Amino acid sequence: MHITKSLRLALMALAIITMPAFAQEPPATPAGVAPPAEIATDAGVADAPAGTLLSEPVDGAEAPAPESGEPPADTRALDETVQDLKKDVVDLNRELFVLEEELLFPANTQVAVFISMDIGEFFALDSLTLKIDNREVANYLYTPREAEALLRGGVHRVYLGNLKVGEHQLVAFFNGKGPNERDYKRGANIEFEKGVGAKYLELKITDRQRKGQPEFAIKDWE
Amino acid sequence: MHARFAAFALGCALAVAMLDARASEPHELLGQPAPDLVARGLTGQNVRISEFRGDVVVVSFWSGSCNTCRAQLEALDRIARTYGTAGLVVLGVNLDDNPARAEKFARAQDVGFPMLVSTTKSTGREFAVDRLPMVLFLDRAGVLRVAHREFKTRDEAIYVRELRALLNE
Repeated sequence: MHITKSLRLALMALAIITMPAFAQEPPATPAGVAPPAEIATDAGVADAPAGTLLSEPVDGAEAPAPESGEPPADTRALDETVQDLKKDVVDLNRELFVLEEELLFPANTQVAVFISMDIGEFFALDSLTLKIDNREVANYLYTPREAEALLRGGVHRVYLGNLKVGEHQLVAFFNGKGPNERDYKRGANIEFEKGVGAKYLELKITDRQRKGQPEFAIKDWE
Repeated sequence: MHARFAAFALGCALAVAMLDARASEPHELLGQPAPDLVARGLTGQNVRISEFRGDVVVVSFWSGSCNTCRAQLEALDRIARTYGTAGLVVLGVNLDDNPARAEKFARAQDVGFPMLVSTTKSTGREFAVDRLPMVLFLDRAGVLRVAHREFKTRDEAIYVRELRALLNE
């Protein structure tokens, strides 16, 4: 008898708990779609197209219909104010970014590694791995667009970190397609002295025309 | 024996209730800029999500061991073929641990959009993927606007409606 009663109680609990699971799902809608952020973020502000009105119109203000196709004077003033505010936000963001870098990577410990490519006939860069003092610090996959940017003269900062004063070793592994579209992997290393100032190292990929092979070098910006 | 059956039934009911509650929880990154992801595609080229700013991007996370993933990928393939010229980009990201197996599964799907194989174990964590399949819709500014977990046949129409709204923004 008591066993039957416990079974009954368990079945009732089962029914109560599973009731929401079988409830019909409401149609996905506006509740399922997050509204666009109303407050412009830094990226949002920087990427918003020129002339985007970021603020709400003033209550009670009526915009007069433009006669010659130009926006009325009060709207123009508002647009200009908004553009000025947007510029201020972008400037502040840039200053904050610089301050953040100085705080996190002070000059006395800062080390930065850059990569550049020249010509690119003999090597198509796919990925790069960096090790400093035998510890992997960066691993970057390059998309075709990024590789093209490097070929056009772009310089990419692959790594920014902190190192103590003294001797260190940097090893870079370059993966990509070499001559005849074959998989190509090469390494380059450099031992450098980290002093009290910031240290900048450049990984240079150039074409060695005489040998028909790419050349990988690491340059220390003294 | 009845007591054991009752306990088993109760345990199943609790599990179902918890799963259902989790499925209805909003995605933790909703409304925020999506993390960036770069992964190798089956064509051998690397693909980075942030390069598609300006387009509406659909990112589908899936695995070979997931039963409904295949159906979802087929639905997304149909949507990609219809709206691809309107600024819609669909990317499939395989989260299997074994890269060779992941590539094999990805190639077997035969879809028209790029299939990426992520070798970074943190990808799932960065995108807060808590169930597979999971599909995320990013707007033209790269903000995560919609997240769907699992897949049922009727979801395709919901996807189309939501994507059309994003494309029309």
